Amino acid sequence: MNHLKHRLPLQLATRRGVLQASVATTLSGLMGHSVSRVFGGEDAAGAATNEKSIVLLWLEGGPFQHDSFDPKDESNDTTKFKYKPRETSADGLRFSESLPLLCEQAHHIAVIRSMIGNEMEHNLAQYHAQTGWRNTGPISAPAMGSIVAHEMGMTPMTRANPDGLPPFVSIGRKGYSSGHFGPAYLPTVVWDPNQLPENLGLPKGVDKTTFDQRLAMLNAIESGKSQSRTRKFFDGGRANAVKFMRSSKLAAFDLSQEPEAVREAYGDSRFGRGCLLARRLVESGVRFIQVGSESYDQHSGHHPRQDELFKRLDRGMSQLIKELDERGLLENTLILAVGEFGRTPHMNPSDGRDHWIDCYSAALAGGGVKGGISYGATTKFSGEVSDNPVTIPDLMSTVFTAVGIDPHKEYNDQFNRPIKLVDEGNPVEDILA
Amino acid sequence: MDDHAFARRASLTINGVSTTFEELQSFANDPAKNKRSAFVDKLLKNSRYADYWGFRLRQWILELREVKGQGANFTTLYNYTRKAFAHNYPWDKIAYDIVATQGAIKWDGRSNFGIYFDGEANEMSDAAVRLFLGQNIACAQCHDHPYVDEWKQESYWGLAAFFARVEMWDGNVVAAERFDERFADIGRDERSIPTLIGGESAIDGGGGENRAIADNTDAELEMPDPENPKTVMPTTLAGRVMGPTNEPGKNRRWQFARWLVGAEENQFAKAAVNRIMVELTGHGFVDTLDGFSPIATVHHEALLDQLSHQFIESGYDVKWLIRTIANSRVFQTIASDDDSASFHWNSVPIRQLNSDQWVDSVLRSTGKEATVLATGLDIADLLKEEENNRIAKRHELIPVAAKKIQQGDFSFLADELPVVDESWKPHEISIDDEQRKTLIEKRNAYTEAGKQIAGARDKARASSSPTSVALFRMNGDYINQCIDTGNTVAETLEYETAEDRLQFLFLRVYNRIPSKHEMAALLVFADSDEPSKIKDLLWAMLQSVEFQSF
Repeated sequence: MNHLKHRLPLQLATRRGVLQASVATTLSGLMGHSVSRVFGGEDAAGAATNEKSIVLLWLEGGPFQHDSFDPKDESNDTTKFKYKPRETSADGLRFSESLPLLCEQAHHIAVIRSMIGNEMEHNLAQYHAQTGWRNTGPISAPAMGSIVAHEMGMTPMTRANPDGLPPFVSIGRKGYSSGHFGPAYLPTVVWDPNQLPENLGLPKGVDKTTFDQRLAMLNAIESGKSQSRTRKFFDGGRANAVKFMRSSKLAAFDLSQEPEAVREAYGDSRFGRGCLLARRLVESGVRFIQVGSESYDQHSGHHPRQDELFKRLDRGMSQLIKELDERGLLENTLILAVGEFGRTPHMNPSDGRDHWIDCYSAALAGGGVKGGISYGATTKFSGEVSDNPVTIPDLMSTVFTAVGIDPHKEYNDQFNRPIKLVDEGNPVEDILA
Repeated sequence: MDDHAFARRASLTINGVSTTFEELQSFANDPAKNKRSAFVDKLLKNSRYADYWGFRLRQWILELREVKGQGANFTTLYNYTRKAFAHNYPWDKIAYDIVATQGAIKWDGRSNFGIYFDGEANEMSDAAVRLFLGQNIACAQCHDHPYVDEWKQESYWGLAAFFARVEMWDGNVVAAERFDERFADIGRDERSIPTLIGGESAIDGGGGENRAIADNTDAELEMPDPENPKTVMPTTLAGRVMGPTNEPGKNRRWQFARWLVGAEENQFAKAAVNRIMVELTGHGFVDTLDGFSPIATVHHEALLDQLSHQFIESGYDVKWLIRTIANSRVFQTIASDDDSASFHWNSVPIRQLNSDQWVDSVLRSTGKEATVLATGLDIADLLKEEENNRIAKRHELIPVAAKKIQQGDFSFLADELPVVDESWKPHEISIDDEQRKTLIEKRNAYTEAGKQIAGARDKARASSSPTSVALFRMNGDYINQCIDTGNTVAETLEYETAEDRLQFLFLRVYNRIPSKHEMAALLVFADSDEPSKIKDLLWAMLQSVEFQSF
C-alpha cells in the first residue's frame, strides 16, 4: 500500500534566498472583498506556543442523541427505540449499546446531554454550531478551528510552525468561515484521507530540479520590485506553500505507513481513516483537526443508515482515544464529537427521524476535561432538556477554556465592532479538569 | 499611465481578462486621438462584458450572506445576471427584478434572491438595503442603531414588513400540478442564453432545487421583541408608513423596490456609482461597499453627487456609467501602493486579480484560449441533423404509444407522450460522414474544455487560505494544462532571437514591453530552443505578482 509515496514531493532542496518570504502576513485573500477587508490591519495574533491540539469529530447532519450518548430504558410505539443503554468503563455512566467500543473508553469521556440549538436548517445550524453566531445580516464570524489556529500563536507559519505544516487541517470537508481573522486562518483541506492535500504534489512532468529552476526564474523576475501589500500577500502564501511542499513531516499524511492492524482497527471508512490521520497530525503538531463525517441526516429509514454511521464513529473515536492515551498524547489533546443538532425522539411515518434542536449530545475526551462523567439531563425519551441546559457558546467556552484560550478575549471585527471570541457563553465548569 | 497599462486595466475591469498581443499592437500603433474611448467602447460591445459582469453581479449578491439558503440555484441566477448586462438592463430594473420577482428558481434566476435568504423577511430587506443603498442597518435588528439616530429598531422591522408576505414553495413537497399551475407561466422568458466560454457548472445543489418564491395577500410581520410584541406595517427607513398599493398586480416587495429606487438624496444611484467606481478603480467614496450612512465620511462628495445625478439622467444606464468612469482621469492614473496619493485619487491602488480575471487571463496568456473558444465552430448543420433524427424517432414512437394505450398501458402518459407537429419538415442537410465526424469531435472538445474551465472557476472561487491559493496556482491541473497545451510556447519559439521572444512573452503575459533592466536580467531564460525551458519561464511569469495583480 505505497500508493502515496510516488506523489510526495519530499525533500526538495531548500534554497535559502529563493523566495524567502518577508513575513507571512495576516492579509486576507478572499477575492472580491472590500479593500479594507483584503488589507485589514495586521493583528497581533495569539500568544506564544501552547502544546495542545484539538480534534473535532464533526458529526454533521444530526446524529440521534438517544442512540449515542443519551440512551433511555423505556421505549414506546411512537419513539420506537431500537437500542438499550449499556454500562461503560465509568461507574454510573451509560451509553447506547450501539457504541460498545466507546463504552470501554468512557472513563476518558465527558458527555453533555443538555445541548440546545436554535437553528432548524442544516446550513444555518452548522454555521451556528461552528462559530457560536447566528448567520444574520452581514455577520461573518470565525469557526472554532480558525479561532484556535489564530490563538495558538500560529499566525506566521514561518515563525511558529517551522516544519511547514499548517495549523488547521480539515479532513473530508471544506472549512467554515474564518470571519474577521481573514482567510489565512482557513483550514488546509484533505479531501480524501488516503491522499495528500490537494495540489501538494508537483505537476505532471515537473521534477524537483525543474521546480527549483522555475523558482529561481521567478526570483529573478521578482527581484528589485517594490514591496507592496499585494506582493506581501502572494509572497507570503507562496513561501508557506513551498515550505509545506518541502516539510519533513509530510509523511504524516501517508496512512500507508501505518501497520495494517492499526488501519483495520480504525475501520475502513472515510471517517475511520480521518480519525487515524487526525492522530498522525496531532503527533506532528497540527493544532486543530476537523474530521468530517458522512451525513447523519436520515429523514427516512433511520436504521440501518445511522447504525452504520455509529459503527464508524464507535471504531474511529474509540481507537483515537485509545492510541492517543497509549502514546501519552491524550492529556494534551482535546477531542470533541458533536453535530449541529439532534433528531426527533419519535419516528416519523417514513421510519426516519427529523431535525431536533430541543436537546442533543456532545462528547468530549482528553486534555482539560474530566473523564467518566455526564452533565445535564433530558426527559424520559431524550426529547427535552430537564436539567442544566448548555448552549453552543457555552460548549465553545468549555472547549477553549480546556485548552487554555480565554473565550472572552475581545477583538475588533471587520466593522470595527468589538467582538469576543465567544459571546455570552460560560464554560461548563463541572466537566473541566 | 501609458497605453499598455490602460489597455490591460480596461480589459481586466470591463471584460474580466487581460488583453491580447494583437490588440496591444494595433492599439499602440493607432494614431487616433480618441483611441482610448474607442477601446472602451469596443470592450463594452464584446460579449465578454456580459459574461464577466454577470459573474460580478452574482458575486455581489452571494457575498451578502455567509451561509447560502438551501437550494439556491447559482446557475439560473447567473443566467439572469448575465442577461441583465447583455441587454444593458437599467439598474433600477435590476433592483425590481431581484427584489420583487415571484417564480421558480429552476426557470427564473431572479427568484433566487428570496431562496438565498430562506425567505426570511428581515434578511431580505437587510440585504437589499446593503446591495442597493450601500447601507448597513444590521445593528438596528436588535436595538436602535448606536451611532445613527435615524436608524431605529422599529424602522429595521418596518422594512422587513415589506417581505412579510413572502412564501417559499418547494416543488418536491407540493403536488407537481399545483406547483406548475402556480409557477409554470412566470419567468420562463428569463431562461438561459448560452455563454461564450466555459459555461457554468452546477455549484448549487444540496436539495431544495425545486423551490419557488411567491407572495400571499394577508400575512403580517410580528416584531420579535418579547417585551413589545406587535404587528409591524411596512415602514421606510425614515419612518414613513406605506399604505397598500392600488396598482393591480403590485405587491409589497414591488413597493419596497420603488422605495429603494426613490430613496432620499439619490442614495440608490450613489450606491451604484460607488460600487462601479470600486470595481473599476479600487477607490470607494466610502470605506466599505455598505459604508453609507448619515454620519459617514464621503470622499470626493461633489464628484459622487455629480456622477449620481448624471447616472439618473441617463436612465440608470450601467454602460454609460462604466464608460464615463473608464474615460476619466481617475481611472487613467498609475497604480501604486502609495496611500497618500491613493487618498487623493492621484493613483489607483494595486489590486489582486479576482478569481474570474485570473482564470480567463491564464487561458489567454498561455495561448490556450484560441484552442478552446467556439470560434470557427459552426455546428448548425449538426444541430439540424440531430433535430431531424429526434423528430423522426418521435414519429416512430407514435404507433407504439397508441398500441400501448390501447392495451391499457399508460406508461407513456406518465412520461412524455410524443407530440408531433404535422407541418414540420425535415431540414436539408449537406454534411457528409467525414464532416460530421470532425464537427462532433470539435464540439466534444469544446464541451470538455468548457467543463474544465468551469471546474477551474469553482476551485479558484472557493475561499481558501493564501497557502492553498498558492498551491492551486503553482501545482494545480488548470494552469499547468493550459501551459502544456496552449499555443504560447510554440508561438514564442517562432521568434528568432531571445530579445524578441522575451518581448513577445512580456506582451502576452504582462501586456507591456520589458524594461532594459529586465531584458538584461531575464534574457538568459529565453535564450533556448527547448520548449521545456520556455515553459518554465512562462510558468514563472504566471506566478509573479505582476501577472496576478493590476
